[in-house]
Amino acid sequence: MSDQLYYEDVVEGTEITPLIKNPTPMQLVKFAGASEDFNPIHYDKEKALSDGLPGTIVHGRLKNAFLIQVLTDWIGNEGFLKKIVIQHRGMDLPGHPIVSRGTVTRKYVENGENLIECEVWTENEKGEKTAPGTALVRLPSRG
Amino acid sequence: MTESVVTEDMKGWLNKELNRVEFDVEKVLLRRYAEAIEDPNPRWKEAVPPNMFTAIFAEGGLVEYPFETPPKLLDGGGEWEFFKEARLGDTLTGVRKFVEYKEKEGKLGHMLFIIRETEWTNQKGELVAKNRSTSILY
Repeated sequence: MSDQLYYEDVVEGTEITPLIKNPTPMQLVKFAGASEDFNPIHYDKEKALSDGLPGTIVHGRLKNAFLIQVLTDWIGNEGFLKKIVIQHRGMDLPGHPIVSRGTVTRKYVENGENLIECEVWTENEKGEKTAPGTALVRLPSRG
Repeated sequence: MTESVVTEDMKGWLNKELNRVEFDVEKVLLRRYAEAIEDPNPRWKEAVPPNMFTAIFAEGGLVEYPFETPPKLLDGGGEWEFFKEARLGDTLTGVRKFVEYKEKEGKLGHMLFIIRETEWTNQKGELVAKNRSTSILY
């Protein structure tokens, strides 16, 4: 979206520009429709409660989407997401902000590709990592 | 430890093609998805955002299992590898299989973990993405 990020711009420890989202019940309904994830725990409070959950919860896959967006926004149009691993550890509730964050853990060149490994996670208001993961991206070089 | 809920029938499904799904990457599909995740990047008018593979191209939250499972479902997460960007006009085919079952006692009681893999190719037969995901049934 902004200026292109290059391999040379990144060092280990570089922070990925965070992305703040405020999922509402409306967004969960739209996401259920768009993703065909019609599990009622995302829109039917009674069903969610009877399943032992604290209320309707944000789709794990919507959090996947946020974690990938934080990366695609950061790596720009010439960057390429090669791999992402995400664990759904904690539940998030609609009406509460979710911040997607990440840091660079390693940079290296392999088979002519400029690769960056990152840690990524979604964070709730208490600072808990509800969906941690790792990602591998390729960046263009200035050279 | 509660008795295992993994039956012989379930074991028989491991590593077999479960189903095959086809998606035409159309304008409306891209637009609705970008609106739902609230990602305004204009790039996604022509290209498939990778998170579409973690959402719409993942099987729905309510999966039709070919065998009896515990009734409640959570999405445990997964891993995705991307090989080639999918674009507007592409036809994507996903082939799915179950690869592993695990069982655990947890906060929600006896939990069955079903691990499945999906491989996505485009109309030219090129590998676009691979996924390994875990569903938690309890």
